[in-house]
Amino acid sequence: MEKLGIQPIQLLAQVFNFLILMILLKKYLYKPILKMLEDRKKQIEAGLRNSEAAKQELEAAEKKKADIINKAKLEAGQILEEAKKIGKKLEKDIIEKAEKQAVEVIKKGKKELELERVQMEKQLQKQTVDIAMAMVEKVLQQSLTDQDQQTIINKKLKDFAKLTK
Amino acid sequence: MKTEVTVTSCVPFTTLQLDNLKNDLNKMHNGDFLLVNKIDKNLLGGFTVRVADWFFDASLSSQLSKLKQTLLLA
Repeated sequence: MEKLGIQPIQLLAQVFNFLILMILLKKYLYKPILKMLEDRKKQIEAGLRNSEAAKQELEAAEKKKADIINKAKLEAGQILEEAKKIGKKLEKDIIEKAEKQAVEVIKKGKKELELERVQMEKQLQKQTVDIAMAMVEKVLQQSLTDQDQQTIINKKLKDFAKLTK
Repeated sequence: MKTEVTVTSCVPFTTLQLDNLKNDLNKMHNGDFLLVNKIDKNLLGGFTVRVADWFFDASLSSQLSKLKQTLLLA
């Protein structure tokens, strides 16, 4: 060994120093670092677990959201359909009511026209009769002589006499 | 006491006409009547007789009035 330039005592000292260094490093450096790494690993694993749980919750929430939207769409469709039905029924009812009212108005109008026509006819008839009567009275007053009047009285007296028999 | 009878006409009744009417009234009502002849040109012809509440209408104006009602109801 000496021929190779290696001093045994020096080598032993270096080995001893190395061993002491190793012990010190293990005690004061490796263990804290390993512990820190282990803690970090645990933190990461917990983070991953939390992340996975959060992901699952997010997926569940997304699914729930999609379900709610689908359900809402379905309900909206049903409501729209129902509203359309109600709208059509209302439209039909309004048209029927309007037609009925129109018929009533026409009927009433015809009745009023007929009434007005009858009243006008009656008025015309009354005016015609009044004029005719006035003419007859005038003619009788102007044309009947005293002799005619006596003849009429005699005729009426005969009629009266018949009542007493 | 005589019962007054109002006889209304366009021209005066003759005595004969008044007598005939008086006889007929006697047959109908059996009484003693005093006939008073009044003139009303509105009767147009014929006559009317009133004895208290009883009234007989044989005037042309009445006939015309009935004719008018008939025509209006037709």
